[in-house]
Amino acid sequence: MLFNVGGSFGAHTRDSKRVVDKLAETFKTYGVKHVLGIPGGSIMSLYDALYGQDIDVVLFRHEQGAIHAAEGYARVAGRPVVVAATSGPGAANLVTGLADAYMDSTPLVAITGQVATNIFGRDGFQETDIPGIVTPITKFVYQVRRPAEATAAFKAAYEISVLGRPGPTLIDLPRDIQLNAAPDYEERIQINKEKFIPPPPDPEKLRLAAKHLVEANRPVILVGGGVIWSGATPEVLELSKTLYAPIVSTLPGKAAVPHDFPLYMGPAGMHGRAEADAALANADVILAVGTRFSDRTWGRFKELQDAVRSGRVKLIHVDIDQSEIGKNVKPTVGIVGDAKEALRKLIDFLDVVPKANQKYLGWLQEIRKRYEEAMAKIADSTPSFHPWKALKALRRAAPRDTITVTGVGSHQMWTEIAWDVYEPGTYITSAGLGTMGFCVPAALGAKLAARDKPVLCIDGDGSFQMTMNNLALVRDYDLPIVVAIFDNRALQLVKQWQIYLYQRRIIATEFSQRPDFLKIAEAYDIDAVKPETYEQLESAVARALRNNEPLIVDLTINSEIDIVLPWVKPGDWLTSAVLPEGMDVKLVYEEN
Amino acid sequence: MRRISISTPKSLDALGRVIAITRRAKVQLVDMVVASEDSMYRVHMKVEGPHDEVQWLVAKLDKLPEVLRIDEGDIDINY
Repeated sequence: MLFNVGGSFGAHTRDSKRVVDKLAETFKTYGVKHVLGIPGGSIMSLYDALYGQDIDVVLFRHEQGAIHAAEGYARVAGRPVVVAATSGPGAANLVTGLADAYMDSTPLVAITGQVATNIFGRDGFQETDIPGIVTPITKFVYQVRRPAEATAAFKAAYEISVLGRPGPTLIDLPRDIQLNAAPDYEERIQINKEKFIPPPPDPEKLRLAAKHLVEANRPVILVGGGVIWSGATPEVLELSKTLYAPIVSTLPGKAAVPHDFPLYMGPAGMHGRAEADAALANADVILAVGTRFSDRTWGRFKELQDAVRSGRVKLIHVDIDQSEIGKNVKPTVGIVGDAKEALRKLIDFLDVVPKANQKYLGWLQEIRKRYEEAMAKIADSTPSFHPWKALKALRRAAPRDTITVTGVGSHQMWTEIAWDVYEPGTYITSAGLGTMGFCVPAALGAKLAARDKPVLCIDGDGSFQMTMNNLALVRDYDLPIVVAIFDNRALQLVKQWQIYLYQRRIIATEFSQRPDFLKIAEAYDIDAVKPETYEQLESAVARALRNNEPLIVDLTINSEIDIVLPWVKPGDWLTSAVLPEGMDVKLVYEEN
Repeated sequence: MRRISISTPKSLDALGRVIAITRRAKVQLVDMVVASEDSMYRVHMKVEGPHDEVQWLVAKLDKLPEVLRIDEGDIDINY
């Protein structure tokens, strides 16, 4: 039996407006300025419709690069961008990025081509059931079956991606539908998107939360990525000052608070800061805002659950997503609502000014000081570059508003501990999914969204090699990013686990010296340096960022010294963090 | 045992998403009936498991834009 493979490949003619032409018009009405991706047989018509339009098409070298770039773009611009890929492999290559965006609540709209409707299910060339594949990792997915649904589906996808808790959406667009004549009406997509509009926070719950907070002896504010999306940084800082409450963050929440705010302790968790772990573990009232209670932040939940159940700890959880309240830990007070609105009203309910627990705050500050001293000693006695000290040099080189993006691995964990963020939203990382290869494309996306800002990608050699092909875009689209590769020739974080948890049975985590990253840089027409001193590192990066020039820095790190500490081993509680040598402190607070 | 009743558009994609969420819940799906009504599917489930896990499932299902309505209640309601 022969199948018609899906109608004509006809390009746009003046007389007929195709579905894709109407889609391109809709992109513009929604403020879409860029479409990122790679064309192919089943998405060619959509690309054709973008020809000569006032929308920039950005051609990546792999679809995974396009979708991570869309994540970087959205986190900087605060709005989604469109990613367009062909059916089959093109669509499947988006999967990791969709899962990443879903875990880190990042809005984007993916549009995938699909084989023509008349060959659905016949295993046509490059046919894959992408809606079926991405169902669990998208906020909304829709396969367009009728021409009149196409623009409605896009509008729904765009709006849902930003409403309430942000997330990725996907529209699957069969080839014949794309080429159909655009109907002059729009078919309604049966969905309920109003459910994503957050309800006003319950005033009685806010009043109760305020009571717990003013009565607290050791309060703490835990901020997650939701604080950034909500723009609630001023409210968090005001609450912290009013309550004398230290602020602790999750890894994505690290970008919510300026790190030179005196009461910011840093991120808590597996590779968090010791003073942050201590502030969380010893708190009697925890105000958690815009966070999903990840095991990566808490190690394990048993201690917290027991403490909350017994009433020893009062847990107040504010989140825009109802399904997060009580998902991992049942709070004392659970408040559904937008973080900024809820915190503003909470501040209004604080009718008593509490006294600062200076002794406790001093104890936390002392932990910070002891960590910095211990690390300085270790780094100074390391003959080669030490990641902790290299980050200090990079921080001095980078202007305060530098957008910093990381890959995934030991270098990322070092940035979690030691990279200071000064402006909200200027630290972008793959937190929930931990996707190696995130850095280069996400940095390109960030630069695309903010060409006037310096963008620094702090990557590892393993992570870098997964998506370095997208470096071609640096020159193609004039996106001058600086990439600092922490080059230990290992999958170092896995190796660290092998050393400590698998009796040093090192397997499949050590790379050869290939490739030469300086030659990779040369191949992409980008300057590169291999510094030998911290001063060389700092001056090369400062110059490139100042002059808005691309640069690749190959920073040789000895894998044997690259052990990221503190470390809360998987399944351990925060107070059992492994601390660096010379840091003899306990993370359990003693009142007397 | 609890009853969860859902209305979705008459689309197997929507139904697939409901099932994708349900299969991740730490509850036992004792029974499930899908009835077709005009332009809608009515999905009726009987689930057994800890209260918190049932609530997890209901909350996650309610996050789907395709779930137009969801009710949860005692099992003694006849369906």
